[in-house]
Amino acid sequence: MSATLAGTCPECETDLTTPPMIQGETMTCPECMLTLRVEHVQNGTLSLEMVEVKLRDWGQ
Amino acid sequence: MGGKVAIVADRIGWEERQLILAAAKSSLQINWANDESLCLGDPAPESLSAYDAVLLRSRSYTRGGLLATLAESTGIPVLNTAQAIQTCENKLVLRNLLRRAGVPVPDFRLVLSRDDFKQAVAEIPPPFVLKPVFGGMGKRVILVRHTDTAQSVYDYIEDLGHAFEQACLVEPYLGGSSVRCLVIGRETAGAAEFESNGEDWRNNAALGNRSRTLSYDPEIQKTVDSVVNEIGSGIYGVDLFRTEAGYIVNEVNHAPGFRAVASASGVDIAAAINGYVQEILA
Repeated sequence: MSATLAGTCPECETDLTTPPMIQGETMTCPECMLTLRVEHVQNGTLSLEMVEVKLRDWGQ
Repeated sequence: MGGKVAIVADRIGWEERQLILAAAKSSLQINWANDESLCLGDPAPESLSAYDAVLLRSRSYTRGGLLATLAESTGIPVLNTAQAIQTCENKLVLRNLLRRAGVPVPDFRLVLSRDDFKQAVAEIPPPFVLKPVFGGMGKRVILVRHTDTAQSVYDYIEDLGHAFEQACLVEPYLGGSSVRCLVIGRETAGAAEFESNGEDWRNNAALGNRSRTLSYDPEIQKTVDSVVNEIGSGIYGVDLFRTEAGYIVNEVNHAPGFRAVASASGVDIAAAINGYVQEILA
């Protein structure tokens, strides 16, 4: 696993560098503050998708 | 024994990451399966075909029971069972099940209308707690301290968009602390007492609080045993209130957070859960 990963916010297109993350983890874009979920990690590059901060029916 | 396990959730949080990292040190392989895109219903769904077991970690109280029902029908082990998840998702069903089995639970009234609420307030006077039948993490749980504010609080319940969300329980307020037991199989792997942090009357881990570890207490284990006898072995967060008459069961979480209990107790909860999953697979 590389020391850092790179990606781009799908909303504001800010270039992001992150510590190692795995598929399914989330982060906050430091520019637009949206919550982004890691869909894939390939060759040190993150594929990110915007998700809700939390779902309305969270709370099992 | 090894095996490939799907963690079914809409995202990977701290707990799921710990489970995945712990599995990497064992013969277990755990992968994330997005609970939004399994498209279950086919008796042999492709989305689960590569897995030997499912660990249901959906935070959604809508998705958990539905997904577990269909995942179970494929024939692979699902933790927790669909029946256990469906029971835990509904605070009324769980409480009724436990009470009928003689397990101590708080008194409560089901509130579906203003008339119900008026009668409930008369029978369980303030301070009382008004909480949704469906929900968790302390969301929309209200402490009502005075009779003269109760009806205006209920105005907000009436304004909620759907009867599903309006269904509430009224129960006596039993103080600002509770005991959270992390149960794996039938055993209490760790327990901690949670208190309100002083800024919010609620003591849920999701909201921030103070916690301290609890050493083994046979009374806690006896109460946990009585719960597991009713809902079956599994992985649960069992919340207890400590009263003068002994422990009583507040609620049971079927996909429990365990960061606070792990931190307070020092127990490697993720490794213990994975060990339990391996036992099931064997």
